[in-house]
Amino acid sequence: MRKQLRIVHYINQFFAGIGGEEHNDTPLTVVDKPVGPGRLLESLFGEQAQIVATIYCGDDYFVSNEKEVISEIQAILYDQRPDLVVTGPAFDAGRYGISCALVCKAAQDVGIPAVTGMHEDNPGITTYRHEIISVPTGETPIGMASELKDIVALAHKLLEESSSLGPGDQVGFAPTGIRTPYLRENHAAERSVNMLLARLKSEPFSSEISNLSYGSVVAPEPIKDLSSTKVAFITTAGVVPKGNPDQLSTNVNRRVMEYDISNLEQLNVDEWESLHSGFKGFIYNTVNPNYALPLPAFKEAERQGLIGSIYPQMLSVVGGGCPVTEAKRLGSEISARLQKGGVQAAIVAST
Amino acid sequence: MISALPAIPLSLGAHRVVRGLRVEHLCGDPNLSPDRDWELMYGIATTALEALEVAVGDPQLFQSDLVMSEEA
Repeated sequence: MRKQLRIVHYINQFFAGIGGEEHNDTPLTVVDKPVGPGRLLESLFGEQAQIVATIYCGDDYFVSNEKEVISEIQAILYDQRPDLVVTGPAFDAGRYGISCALVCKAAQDVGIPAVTGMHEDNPGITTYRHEIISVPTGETPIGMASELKDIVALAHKLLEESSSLGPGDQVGFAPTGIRTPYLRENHAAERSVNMLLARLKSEPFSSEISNLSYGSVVAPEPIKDLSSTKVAFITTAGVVPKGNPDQLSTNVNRRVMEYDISNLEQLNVDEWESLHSGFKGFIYNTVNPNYALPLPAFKEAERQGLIGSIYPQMLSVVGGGCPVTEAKRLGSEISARLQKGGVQAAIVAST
Repeated sequence: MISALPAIPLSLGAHRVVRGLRVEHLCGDPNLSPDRDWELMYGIATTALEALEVAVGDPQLFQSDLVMSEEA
């Protein structure tokens, strides 16, 4: 008689059928059967497997209550004792990918193997690459059926041979970036000469170390008339009202905060603080927060007619623990907001 | 972008990079007199604003004269 494979599946509110962005604050919920893509997942695992519980949660709820959510999930896992945890797939959804990665970590921390699936640029992979096993997927759910099959295949391999899984690009998961030495047929001198010869002959070759490229952007055209331009100001020092009422994280931040500066002449040291945990905020927090974003100087420039107007909100992000792909996502979000607000230029004050 | 470590954004392709002071005080210097500190802050801010009006191809560093003279 085949042993039953007991699986716990984690998804977000959208894949649980609750709704989209507007239901991002759905609290952690457990159901004792497969939900959404879990149904197909369970059937792909076959007769010997069962999704004994589906845990779902709103993406924003997860990010804002991370500690509690992880504790609750680990408690559920202690209770259910599954053989495997599957999370997602999250495709290119950044917050969802991060929750999927964190749930995998939480499962692994209590001794349960876990797999997930998401696009290779998802911050879940770029941030937690070393710690999770993920099938690379497309950006959208369009290929989900076949990607779920890949997840099932990977899960079986993981359960059978977790300590000697092999390199990701051969086994079928996103490379973890962990380099494991092994004995090769030819030594490095031969391999490098062969690689060079192939390159000189324009023949295909595989680099043994891959280089990440961040891509490039063409410089925007200069502003023709600054005196009629609306300019926005952004700080990566996580400048927030003192006491951090919105609970912006000091590191690994995923949100863009906006604070009204339309009636302010400057940032008063009693009213603002810089949260970024990557440097000493002492001077910003006890002497002068305007060193982080020189608001009085920009207000003076506006008075002098150097600039047309100032966007009424100061945008604040925390630059720490921010991988490139996440920064790109935050940047896209910021530029969409600013374009909507008629802003034509922006200055980022980055510590 | 105003940066205390301009080499980093320049190497990553940020087109208009303005040198600031230090990571701990980017747009001014608490060791200066209030007047000089204000001149410095205004100098950095206007250098950044003026950089927006300059056509650039490759990443370019902009620097207020005041920043040069304050550096050790």
